Amino acid sequence: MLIQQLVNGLLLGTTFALIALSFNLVVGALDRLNFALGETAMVSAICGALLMAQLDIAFPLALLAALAVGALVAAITFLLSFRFVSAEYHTAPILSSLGVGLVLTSLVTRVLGSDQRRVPTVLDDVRIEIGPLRIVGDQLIILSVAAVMTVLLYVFLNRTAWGTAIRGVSDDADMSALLGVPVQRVILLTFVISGMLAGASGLLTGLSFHTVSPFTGFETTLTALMVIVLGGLGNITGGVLAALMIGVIETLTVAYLSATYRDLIVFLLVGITLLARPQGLFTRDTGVVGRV
Amino acid sequence: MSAYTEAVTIKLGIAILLALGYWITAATGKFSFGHAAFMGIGAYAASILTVKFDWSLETSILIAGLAGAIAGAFVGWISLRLSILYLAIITFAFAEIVKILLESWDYVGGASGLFGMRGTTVPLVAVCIGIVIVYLFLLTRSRKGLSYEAIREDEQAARACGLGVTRISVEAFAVSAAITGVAGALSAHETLIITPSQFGAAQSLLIILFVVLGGVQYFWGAIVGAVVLTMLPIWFDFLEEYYQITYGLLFVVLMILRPQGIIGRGTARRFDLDALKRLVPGRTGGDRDD
Repeated sequence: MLIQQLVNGLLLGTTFALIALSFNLVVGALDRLNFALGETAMVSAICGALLMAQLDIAFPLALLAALAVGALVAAITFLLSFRFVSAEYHTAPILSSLGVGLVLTSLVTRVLGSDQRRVPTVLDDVRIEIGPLRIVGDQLIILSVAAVMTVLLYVFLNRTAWGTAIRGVSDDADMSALLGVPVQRVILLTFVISGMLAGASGLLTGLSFHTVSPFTGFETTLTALMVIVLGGLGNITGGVLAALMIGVIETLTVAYLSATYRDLIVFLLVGITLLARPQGLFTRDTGVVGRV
Repeated sequence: MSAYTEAVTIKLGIAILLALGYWITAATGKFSFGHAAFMGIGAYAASILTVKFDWSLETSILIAGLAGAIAGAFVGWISLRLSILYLAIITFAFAEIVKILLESWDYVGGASGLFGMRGTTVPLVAVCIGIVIVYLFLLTRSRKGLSYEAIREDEQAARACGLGVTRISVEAFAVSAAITGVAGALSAHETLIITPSQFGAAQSLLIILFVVLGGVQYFWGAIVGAVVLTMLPIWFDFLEEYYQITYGLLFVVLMILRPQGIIGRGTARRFDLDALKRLVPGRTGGDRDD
């Protein structure tokens, strides 16, 4: 039973890892957090779920649609909450992106209704059993999509010119600008990628619970914030490790204690981490933390 | 005074108190995103005392302020040493923790809430607002008020001038939480029933919007913000249905056009349409302009 719970936890963690990657990319590029990413994930997931349940569209196409919606919403958020907001006011992007999140949630509930949406099972008859361990088809899909996206992101960031530009801007925007990098376009690209990651995470989370609710946006943001604080703001590897850790902790708490303590234990863990190691569990130097 | 006018006046007074309380921490440039938690702590502290122990409302309100101050000092102590991003994250999480704890505490009714409180009157609210305004009037004319302003405008320069930035910020945060706690106690004894979900993220954002709309430079800006945002849904009924969209859009538009709030000086900055052009491919060269 314990092994089964551990595996379930790790699988839950992979969806957290995607949304944490999404937040961390933005923190790296701009030293700011996009608080609307949770709602971005929710909107993408609802769109994907509607396509799958109502129009019988195959999962890969619905996933692509979710990615596109996520990218679009993130690009709009960038323009509204970051690009046109004066950099002098540090809290302005936070408030503005929270506002975008509010608008997204209420738009979705107004236009599409506030009921939960069903996400149909994708791989019905696939099941792997290793001793007591059982992994169903949808879990395999979640794992493989998350893995493929993480690997693609890694390759993109490390092996392409635009990826190098993103890392350059994240490291030192002024220096990158001096060297001829179109900084604002690179930041827009970063937002688009982060939106795609959020969209994927939203739909995959929906797939693992088989429902999507329009009210989960803020909750997703909170979970992602806990993950990136635990892993260290802007630390991409740390974020992934922390996501897996929180996934396991949440699953074990629900399985062996009670669902009410799920969030509480995570918050306490993060609180203690902040007191002892404000730079996060997996960060050696302060890095981005010193700048934001 | 008719019952309706009285209810609206009390609601307005509590909103003003919340805005003034929040203004104190915003005056040091530290934005909390979970002030509803302090409101909840004050509300529950006072309600337990009046309902379960038959204490008088006035004493309970004082205790509510004290409870708010202690919680505020604790949260401030953890988060104000770090950057504003961490402050935002920690205050968000703190508000959720308070909500979860209250929901699982059966003594105060859990998620279904605590009821039986009453007694908030217009004079009581007026006295509370009066005390806070006198305090703020003296504060803004004192060296401490100047130090708040210095920290808000440039934290590094303030530190270089020898101000204990963290200590002053924590103090401001605790006073702010205390006033918010008092406002919570007053609102609990007006609404007759309190549930943990009343003190969630939506309430926190509303408090922030009071101050952001009014501007942080002068404390009476916060009063203006509170009055406008409380009266709008009362005057325009149709807003009730769209209030979330309205508030969300208000945040977005305000931050672009007047991030310093309606009231207050700020660097003149027009809506910059050239920024759009710079995103269109075709130009070469670096273009970071902020």
